[in-house]
Amino acid sequence: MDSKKIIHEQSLPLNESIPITLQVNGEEKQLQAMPAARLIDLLRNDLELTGTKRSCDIGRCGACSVIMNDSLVNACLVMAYQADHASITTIEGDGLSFIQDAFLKEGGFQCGYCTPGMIIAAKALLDAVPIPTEKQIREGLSGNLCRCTGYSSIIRAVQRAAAMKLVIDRCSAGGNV
Amino acid sequence: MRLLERAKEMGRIRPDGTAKVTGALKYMTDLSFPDMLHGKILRSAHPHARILSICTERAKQLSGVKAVATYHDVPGLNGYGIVFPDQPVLCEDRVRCVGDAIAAVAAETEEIAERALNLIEVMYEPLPVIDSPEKALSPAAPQLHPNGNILHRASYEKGDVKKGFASCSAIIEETYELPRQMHAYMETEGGVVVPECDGTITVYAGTQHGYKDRFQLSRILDIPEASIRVVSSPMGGSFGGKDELNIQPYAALLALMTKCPVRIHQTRRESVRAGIKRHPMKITMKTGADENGKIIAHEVHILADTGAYATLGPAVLDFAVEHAVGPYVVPNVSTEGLSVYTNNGVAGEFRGFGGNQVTFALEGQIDRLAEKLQMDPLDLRRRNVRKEHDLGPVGQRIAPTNGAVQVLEEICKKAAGLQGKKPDVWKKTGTGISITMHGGGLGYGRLDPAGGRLSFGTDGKIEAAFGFEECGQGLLAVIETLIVEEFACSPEDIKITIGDTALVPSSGSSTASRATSMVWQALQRMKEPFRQQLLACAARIGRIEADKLQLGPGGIWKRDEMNASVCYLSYSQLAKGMAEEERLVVNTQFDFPTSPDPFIGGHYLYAFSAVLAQVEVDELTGRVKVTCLDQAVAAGPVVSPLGYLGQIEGGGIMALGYTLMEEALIHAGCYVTNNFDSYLIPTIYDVPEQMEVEAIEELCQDDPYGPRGVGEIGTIAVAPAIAKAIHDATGHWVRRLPVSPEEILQAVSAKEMKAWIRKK
Amino acid sequence: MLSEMLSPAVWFPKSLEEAWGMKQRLGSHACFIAAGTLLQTEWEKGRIDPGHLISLERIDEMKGVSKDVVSGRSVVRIGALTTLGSLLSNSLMLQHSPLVTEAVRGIAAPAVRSRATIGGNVASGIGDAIPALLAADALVSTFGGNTRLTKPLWQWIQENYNSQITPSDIVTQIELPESGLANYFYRKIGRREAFIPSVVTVAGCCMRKEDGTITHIRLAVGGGETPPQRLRFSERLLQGVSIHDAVLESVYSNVLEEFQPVSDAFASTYYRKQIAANVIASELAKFAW
Repeated sequence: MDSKKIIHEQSLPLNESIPITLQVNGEEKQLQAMPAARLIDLLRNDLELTGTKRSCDIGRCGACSVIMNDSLVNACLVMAYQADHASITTIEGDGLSFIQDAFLKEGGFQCGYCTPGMIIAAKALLDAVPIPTEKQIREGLSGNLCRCTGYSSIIRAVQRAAAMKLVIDRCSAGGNV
Repeated sequence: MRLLERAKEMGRIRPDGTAKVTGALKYMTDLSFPDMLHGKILRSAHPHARILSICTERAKQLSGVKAVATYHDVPGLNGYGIVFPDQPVLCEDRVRCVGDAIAAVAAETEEIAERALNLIEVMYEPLPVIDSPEKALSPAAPQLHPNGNILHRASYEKGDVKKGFASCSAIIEETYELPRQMHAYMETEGGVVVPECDGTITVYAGTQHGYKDRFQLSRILDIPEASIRVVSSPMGGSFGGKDELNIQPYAALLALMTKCPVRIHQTRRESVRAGIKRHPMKITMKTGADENGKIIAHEVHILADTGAYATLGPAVLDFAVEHAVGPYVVPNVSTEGLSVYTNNGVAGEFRGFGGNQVTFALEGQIDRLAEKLQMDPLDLRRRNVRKEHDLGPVGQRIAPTNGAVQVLEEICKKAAGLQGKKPDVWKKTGTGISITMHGGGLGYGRLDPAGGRLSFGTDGKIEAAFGFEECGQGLLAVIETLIVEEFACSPEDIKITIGDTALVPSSGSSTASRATSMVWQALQRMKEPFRQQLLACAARIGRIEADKLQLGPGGIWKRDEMNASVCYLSYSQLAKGMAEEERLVVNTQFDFPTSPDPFIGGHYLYAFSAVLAQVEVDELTGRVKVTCLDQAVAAGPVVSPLGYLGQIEGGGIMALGYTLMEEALIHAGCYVTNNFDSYLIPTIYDVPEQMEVEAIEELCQDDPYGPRGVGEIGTIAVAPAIAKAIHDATGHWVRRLPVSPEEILQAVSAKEMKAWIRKK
Repeated sequence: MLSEMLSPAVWFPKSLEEAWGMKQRLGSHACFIAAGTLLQTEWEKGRIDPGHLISLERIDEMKGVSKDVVSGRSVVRIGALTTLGSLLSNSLMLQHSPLVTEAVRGIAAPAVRSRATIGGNVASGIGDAIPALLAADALVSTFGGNTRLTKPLWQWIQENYNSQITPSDIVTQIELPESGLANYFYRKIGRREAFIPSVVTVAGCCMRKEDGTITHIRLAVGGGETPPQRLRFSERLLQGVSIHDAVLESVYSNVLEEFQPVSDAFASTYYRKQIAANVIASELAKFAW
């Protein structure tokens, strides 16, 4: 019986640790956690994926942004029971290299602490809007604080990533013809 | 060329870049070790109180708790502070701010440690809270420290201001109020202290000066410095905020008590409460000029709220006093500064270091004076600005520089090219320009050593080692770029070592815009001996004359065969061929250049900036939106274009926050803004549509000092430029930061009745 | 704080009745939770310390967005569990109520919106969607033990929040009548450009005849800790007239009187009144005849 089923059929409360199944960066992970434990702690402590950063604990900085079931979320605001059976993409995941490359070339980071969250937010944005306007970039990244760069280089990086994605997609489309 | 284009042309990627964008980089707060415990620190419940008793029994009995430390457990000096150690590590009988630590707990989990804190019983007798410098100065105020409530006085006198004012035809007098800004680095303070088998400890925690942490920890723990290794880079931002000790003493005490590694990573709320902030200052300036716009007299009073402890408060005040006259030549100056203890948290070092506050006041004076004289404010600046060989702001000899004129003229060009935008309905626009100069290094009379080491490893790598730290500013890129330029090698040939007292030479602090400058100067000293020795070895191995060889990518090249497909002797071949006694190590030790004239803290090398701000003021709400924030910076040659650009852009937005929204509010000694939901810093939406950076690289002839640091300069002149732009748009002079939309709205409303329809 | 955060027991009722029963049994130690984005910030502040969380996320009748026709007028029903993010990408919503869509776009940031629910925003009593919903004449459905009630949102807010007591009822659904061709405006003013707690939030909805006479007007304000309210007196001033200088002047003064905001460390009551009055008058000025 999988853990999802257990939770669903539970008539008693969950007040001790429960099995949680996560699909993290394409890999299935089984772990035990308190139901209200936070996803950020599961990722950082249990799974040792420390690329997801902790900074404000209240969803006001975006340093712990991850993609959960195709949506951008703050891992500090998601509890273990809410993440059960979810598919999670963190900065350690695949499909981010064109954005990472653009951040490198434009210098869209300094201390790098907000960068994983920023890149994940950029990924969520570009998945939804492949060629964003500057306004859409601002909206897409408005929940991610950066104290070092002043954001200009981040805007340039996302613009570059979008352009690169276009080229990549065209090439791969061309290759299929 | 605009910096952005240059950066693109150069196309170099930071050495730490890939690890940062992939999330692979381990910050000190990401580390974990076998058997690691988790630490938590109990902070004072009151901003000012006597401690009657501390009982830790219940906490110690909690299952999973491994140690509880109080003042009893501090083996050495129960105090720290960079200038002098007046801040208790763990308070014994008195607390002076809500950041004061009373106990520290190590437990199996963070949750248990947190629970244990709640079980520590502290009895307090609250004392009157000194919540302003004025209160601190009143004769009846309780004394916060043995020497009273005044931390530091500093002053500068030149000429006779009284006489000077008598001959002025226009005088401006105004008091400016500057807020308590929070560094708001994204990574809060944290790290791990590991007790090693040999009785030593390794401290993995970010700081801006590893050796200084080692010194302070040695004093607290009463163990030799040699028994402490500090690993201090990389950091998730610092901006001055991690220069002073933070969690290190507690993690170290707990690690020594439990003989286990102890990690402490403060929550944002804890960080706000315990962390240092920028000094709030009240600055009164009286400035007079004759009818030709020549500034004759300038009188300044600075009152700084330094909070409960000293840290670098004295030096911040010295800096403000020094820069009170900025880049202007004024015959009669009287500046007096006072830094005062209160129960308002702790103020300390922060990017700009007192320059931000005093420049807001100074440039405000210049603009007000121009209005009174009915003169173009740029003209007024031109008439008074320092020239190449003028003395420094406290009458000291400085390295000749024409930076002030250069940035002023460059920003004038920018202003001329700025597109005047027709404002939307209910919006008013305006522009403003400010300039500033900012000293680098710690200043006259302070220990300010620098140094570095170049060696050639057995693996054939050119190893550069410095005691500087990577806070995010791009130090690694600076080192790499300079070495690649000097030796024409490739980035792959280099190994850079920083941030670890076990491995690096002492180079002084990564503060005061000094690291880039000191790396460059160190390399100037080391490059020729290193090059010559390396070529000599290559010559011996290849049985060829050394002057036929030169360094290049991948190895040693023959001068006349630079077009060859491979080098003459690769670095790894060279390393293999070198005898043990030929191992090449070049060291240098020197001091940051200072003025020969003895003004304590006075600087010798300065950087300059001019800012052009354009704002849009909403007449309905009083809110200000910055639409353009251009900067021209004169700080010598650009080492790393992307890094330079990032410092100025990032500094500009940090200063925009300081101007428009940031204030760590304290009411009666307690923080009101405890996290990012109330302490607001700029988001990507606050970034102006236009932000261009011009770097002026030209130095005076024969200037031997190379690049000046740009870590701070981009933050200094932003606030006054925005304030002037607001005045340009509304006619209202702002004298208090952050700009209050409420105040702007009252000012705008008072000037004209709203005629709703006619605006249509 | 953190320790308490991690230890509450979580309950998973599958129906409203079950949820209600649990809350009755567990009393004040329990609280309802959907996504919990607001609740988590309250925990971090140490303001609440629930021993039990009753998750509403498995109650099917609180889910989904659908269109219906009620007495000839189309309405959109939004289940309380609908996330703000999904409302933004819902084409039905954009067509039906661009005002509410715009308001939702101004709430927090994408990562929060993809979790936070419309029900939570409304149930908080101070959410920034509320002024827009008030201007759009939204109805709210609630469940309180044996009773299912649907009433105008303004009325529910007035009954529940003016007393400063958090309601015990579960918000189950929001119902939005079609706004037709009404003109609308929405503005949220905070201390920076975006991702802000609101200082003042203003929403308005207006329909006019060809001669400019106002046939329908709604004005609503909120912001900060202030419970959002309809400005009924100001609305009355506008109903049936066409907009000209004098009307604007009187609406302006009237808003100053009628809006009763709460002050905090960042903005005074008077400032909030002023910007609400300014924004409303300037927006109405666009409809001047």
